[in-house]
Amino acid sequence: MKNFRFYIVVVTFIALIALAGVQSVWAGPNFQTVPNNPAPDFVVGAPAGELSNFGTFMAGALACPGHTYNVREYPNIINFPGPSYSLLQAGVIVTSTSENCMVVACFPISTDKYPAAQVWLFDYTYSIWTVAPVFLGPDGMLCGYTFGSGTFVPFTP
Amino acid sequence: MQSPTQPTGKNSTNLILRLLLAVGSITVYVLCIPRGITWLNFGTDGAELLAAALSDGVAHPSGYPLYTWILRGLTIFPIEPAFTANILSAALITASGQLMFSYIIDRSEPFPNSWMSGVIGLLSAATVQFAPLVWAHATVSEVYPLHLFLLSLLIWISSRPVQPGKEIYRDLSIGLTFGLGLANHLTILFALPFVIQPTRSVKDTVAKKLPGLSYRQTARSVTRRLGIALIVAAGLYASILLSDPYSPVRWHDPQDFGDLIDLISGAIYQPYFSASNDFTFRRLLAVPGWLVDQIGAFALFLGLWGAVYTSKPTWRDLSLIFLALGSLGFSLFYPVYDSYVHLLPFLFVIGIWIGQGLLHLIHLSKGSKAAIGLLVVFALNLVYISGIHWNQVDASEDVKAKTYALNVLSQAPMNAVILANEDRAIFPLWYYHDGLGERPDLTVIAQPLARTTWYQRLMRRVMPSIITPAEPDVDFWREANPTMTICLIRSVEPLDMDCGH
Repeated sequence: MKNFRFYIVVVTFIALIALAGVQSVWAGPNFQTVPNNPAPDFVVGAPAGELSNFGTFMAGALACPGHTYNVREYPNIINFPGPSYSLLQAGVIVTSTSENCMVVACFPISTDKYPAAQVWLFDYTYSIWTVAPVFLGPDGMLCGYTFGSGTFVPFTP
Repeated sequence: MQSPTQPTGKNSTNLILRLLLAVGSITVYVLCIPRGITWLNFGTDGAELLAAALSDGVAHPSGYPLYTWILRGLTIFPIEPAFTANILSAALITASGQLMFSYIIDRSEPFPNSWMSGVIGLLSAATVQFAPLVWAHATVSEVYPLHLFLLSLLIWISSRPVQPGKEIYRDLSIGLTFGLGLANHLTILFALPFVIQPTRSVKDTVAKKLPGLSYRQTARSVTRRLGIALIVAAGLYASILLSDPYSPVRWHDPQDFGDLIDLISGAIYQPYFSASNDFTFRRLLAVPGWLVDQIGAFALFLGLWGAVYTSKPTWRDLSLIFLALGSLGFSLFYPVYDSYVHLLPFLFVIGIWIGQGLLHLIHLSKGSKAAIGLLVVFALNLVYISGIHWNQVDASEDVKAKTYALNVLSQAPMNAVILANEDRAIFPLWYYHDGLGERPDLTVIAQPLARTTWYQRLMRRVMPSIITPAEPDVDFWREANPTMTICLIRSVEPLDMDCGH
């Protein structure tokens, strides 16, 4: 029994120390005390190829018939390690019920005026901020996309 | 010469060690405390809690009535309320450390009342007190220091032996502490097993030849504790209905029990729970790294040793395990980025296990050299961990939140309406404008809340001349209120305020 306890302690400790070097990010959405969207969730069904209007920007899911996704407007992103915090004006969290669905968020940023505009993405799969791949969406909107879920933030250098 | 593991007879050595722990921790905390409100160290909500207290309003869900009442009481001191509240947090965490010290001393069965057990109690409590999460909370105005204090008090009271005929006093103490805890932070529910524990253990009854208590007596005792707790908690939550209906900081604008339930249950945050929780597993993987960062690898080993070797299938030890796992589980599943603040009770339990683990190892080592070696390594671990985190938690020079708020209040045109749309922008303005009464000609509006019916109702009462538009954009606010100067805080740092000129 004594040896059994000893092995439990040693093996658990080694496992914890090994894991300590693997993952250090405490993941999750950056919600605030003042919620930006205290109204009921914007949960919509998304037929393939459809982009749903959502306030000043658009978000949606592509190529995933019948699945649902969840969009939440988010005015300011805290703990954002990317470009200068002060330049961030709005963001959107898009969560998907399938990790294989492409989700997009489009922002009304003129790429003529801001040719270097970017969309930053907090990728929940890897818990990292990164520059999202983009394409030009409806009405010239700048759209970022990912597969799965993410927080999208527009940035205009 | 007296052996380090022999009882000292008098408790003078442990009293000195206890004082050393208290004076040392409060000194370090005060050195790191900001002199006013802050955004650092999880302190953003502090300005909002203070504003609610100072304006006789209602804090964000769940209302935190106990904490806001205490903050109101602190206004008798002629010091800036935020500074006083920060010192209160330092005092509460220091008191929690003292209770952990007592708990470890009380349970130092191999060598009770020896100076060795005192040193172990000191080092274990200090390891938790200087873990950056705990240390950070000791420097800011928040509900969590009070939560940790009430939790430690509950654990300590419920671990004390009870003499026949004195059960009612312990029931009163447990019920009162748990009730106050519920009125501060509802996650104290994870400590429920300490409240419903049997009045007297079988071991106590046999070893001390005390008369056993019948199930009926135990049931009566537990009912008494829960009854007192519910009366205290319900009374404090009901006191929210007595707050000033004209306070601009009045979450959910509670006017009846339905509103009160919405406030207490955090109805405004319930949509958060529909968010994807695919981060839970990654959080679980992050816990080991987080623990090593908080207490160091050696302390983690001692905590494991204590948990595995000294935990017994007793109600008390199982209650500790339940509290630790409950707090850990809540932190993993609560879909907010900084949910790891709910690991404070988890850390507290680990601190107890660290102390018990070290006591056990020193008992096993028998030779004093090995024992001294363990203590030295543990002390070095503490010094190293606290040393590398000092700069991280030192907020003594921080004036960013204050500077931001005073700049807005000094730059805003006469009678302007200020729209702010995030925590860091809103709360400092609430504190200075609605809490301390600076620039009374201005009106501060939490723009995102303006979409809720309760905030619209509150605005109609408190600021009847302002019309809330259907759309949140600032242009709609200006269109709806053409005679007013509407200013929008576009950026907090650096300050960018658009007043439409």
